[in-house]
Amino acid sequence: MFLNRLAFRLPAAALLAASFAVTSWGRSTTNVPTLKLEIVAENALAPAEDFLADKEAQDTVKASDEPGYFLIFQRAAELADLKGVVAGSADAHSIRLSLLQRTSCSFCLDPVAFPAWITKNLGAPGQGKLAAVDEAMWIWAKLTASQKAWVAVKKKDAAWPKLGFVERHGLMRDWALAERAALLKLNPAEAAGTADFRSRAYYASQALGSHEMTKVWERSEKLNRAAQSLAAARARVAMGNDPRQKALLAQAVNAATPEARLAALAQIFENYGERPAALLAAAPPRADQTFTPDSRKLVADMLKTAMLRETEGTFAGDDLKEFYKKTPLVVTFTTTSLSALGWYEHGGNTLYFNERYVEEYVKTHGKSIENLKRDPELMQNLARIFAATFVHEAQHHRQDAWARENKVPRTYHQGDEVEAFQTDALFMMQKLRDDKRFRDWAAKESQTSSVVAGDIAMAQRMEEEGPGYFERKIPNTHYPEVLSNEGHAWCQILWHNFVEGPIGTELMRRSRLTPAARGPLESSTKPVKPSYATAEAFRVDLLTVSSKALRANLADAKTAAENAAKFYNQIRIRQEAAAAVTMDRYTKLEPRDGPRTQRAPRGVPSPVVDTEK
Amino acid sequence: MTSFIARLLLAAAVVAAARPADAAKRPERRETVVDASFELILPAGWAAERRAGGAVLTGPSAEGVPALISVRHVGPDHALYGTAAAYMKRLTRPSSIPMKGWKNGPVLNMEAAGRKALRLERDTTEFTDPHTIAPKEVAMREEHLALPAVPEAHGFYLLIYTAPRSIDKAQRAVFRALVAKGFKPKL
Repeated sequence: MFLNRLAFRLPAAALLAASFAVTSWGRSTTNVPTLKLEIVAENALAPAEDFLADKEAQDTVKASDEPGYFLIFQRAAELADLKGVVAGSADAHSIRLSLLQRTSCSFCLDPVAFPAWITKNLGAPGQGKLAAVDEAMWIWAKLTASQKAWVAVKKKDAAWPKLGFVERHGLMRDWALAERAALLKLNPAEAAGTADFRSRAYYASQALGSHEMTKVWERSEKLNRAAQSLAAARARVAMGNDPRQKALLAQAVNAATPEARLAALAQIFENYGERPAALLAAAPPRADQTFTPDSRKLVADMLKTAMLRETEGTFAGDDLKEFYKKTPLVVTFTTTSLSALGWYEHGGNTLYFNERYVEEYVKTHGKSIENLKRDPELMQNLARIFAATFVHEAQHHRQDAWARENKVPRTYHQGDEVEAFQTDALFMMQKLRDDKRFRDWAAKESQTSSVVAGDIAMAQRMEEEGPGYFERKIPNTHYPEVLSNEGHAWCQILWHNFVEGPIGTELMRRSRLTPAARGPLESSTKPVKPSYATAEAFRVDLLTVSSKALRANLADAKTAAENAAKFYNQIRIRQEAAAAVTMDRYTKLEPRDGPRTQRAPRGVPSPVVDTEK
Repeated sequence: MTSFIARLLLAAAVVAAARPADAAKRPERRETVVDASFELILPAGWAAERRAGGAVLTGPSAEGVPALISVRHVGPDHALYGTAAAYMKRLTRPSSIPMKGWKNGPVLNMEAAGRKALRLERDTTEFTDPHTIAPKEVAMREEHLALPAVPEAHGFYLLIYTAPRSIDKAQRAVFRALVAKGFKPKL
């Protein structure tokens, strides 16, 4: 994970659509009235794609009618972009979130016009997405009873068919926020209640952004664990006649909060001499199970040493030993609402690890932070759990250090993740093979830890399918929203092409102003903003940005565009070299067609039973 | 820069490789993935992305995992396996890595694209959001199809289908249709 680019959310579908490779390549007309009619007035996708793909035609149009060119280019890009909104694995929620990023689009927020455009322009692939688009647009028939009731209370039900997407979504968002508030107060003890909670949470999540439901999902998880444990505890307590346990059970049933219920249930099982890991992890921490500033730093330093030690004797460990001889490394814990186990922020030398996980780890084992400091085995097992993530994030650190050394802009791209996953999976594969104690520990730990089970699955994929598996799988499954190296190169060029016109026009306008009118703009310090909600907002803001900032921004964009190919090639060469090293190491461990040795059989393959066929 | 640039980048990414089908000749705009060594018709609603030696097609998702079809030509000098049989052997031989919940079916002979092919079906698992606090395990179903190039000295083709088991029935039909009618090897 690479935190700096989390805000860089491109709809997955759009990027998946980015690489359609198809047979024909249309040539665009250069007749401006025809282009305006087809692309701007009729929103026809095919001529728009032809125009975007034909640089020669664009240059001709730009030379003959520059304002017309920008008008046509902008709409053509918008139409191609809309194709991406509904392509690939787009679903109702992703389409909805995508539309909310396009509130200044020409027609995509119209519940009638957008589906009609899809039908007319996207043919069969688009037809398959119409139901999802309807749902994304909050079509009345797709609303839940609760949503319909909310709309009725707001007296908007009769007008619903005529409302635009933004107004409909505003109402649904209000409904979802009310649902969220209600859910955060609910405290069902039994499984049926928790299932209803999850169902309500799901519908609310569909009207909110990706991170707006984190607290609800955390509560749902606690409720779920408590309900499961309550059922188990009820059965156990019924078998005996211990009044202390019965009182604790009643306390759990009537607990005012999920945390109090989990604490009571944890006590019940502890009285039986048991420590169910999931229950202990979800229970509230004791005072000695949370960090102080001093213990946070000390444990992080100890973990750094333990993780480095855990990588010794592997290819990855050798790399890291060399790398950290000359590069400082800081390991730190951070509280975050993110679910990432660890991450690296480019430009620094710090690997961050999720403090919540460490505290859950301590709770799961019924230990304290003090135990973590003093019990080598407890610390070593934590380092083992973090080992693959450490190798992964350290690889991002190495990528960043290379960019700094070579004065290449840090363009985080899909290839970076593929490389990091290949590195950590190869590490796990080697570790599981060569370190018997680690293998035995992992086999046991994976029964209860999905983190370890997931790392083992990656190692298994590496062993069976080689590094190529990650090239095939990682970008599409886990990072569809991140651009490829090629995508970055294109974007730099397009960005320059886009800003060149408006900024150039504005600077030209200013040159014609009287000195009195131009003076304030020259002396202004107003910068170009880091982001704009719409293209129109960008154009409006340009009118008041300082001339110095405009010139600097244009120069930066020009430099970036001019260097795009050079940096692309440098990054590609590094990436290919890293891939070659990984393949070489892999084939040392797993030679072509060579037998695997010194390993126990996993069992005779059994036929897949597919009852659905 | 975030949202505005993101939109521009988005457009750029789409522009980068979106090539229009010839709408006049093919009103339904069926899109065809063309590689030096094969050609295939993109299933409706799926997206294609070029990768080294082939393409990856992405279909509908379930439980946070999309259905994928990978199609590629494997040369005889490939670093890991030179033949279809060697590929299947690598996939099915024993391992010491302690996996749970994975089951290989038998490697079966069949015909695909008019050639003798090897097919392996398997149940596996994937974890969504790897390297997070609580990755979620998703039960997967896979089909690996390996068929020789002609002549065999030119290597072989690999078509790999993976999908969450919850949507396997519908998506496997798409894969089977692709193999039956939409895939044309050139070697």
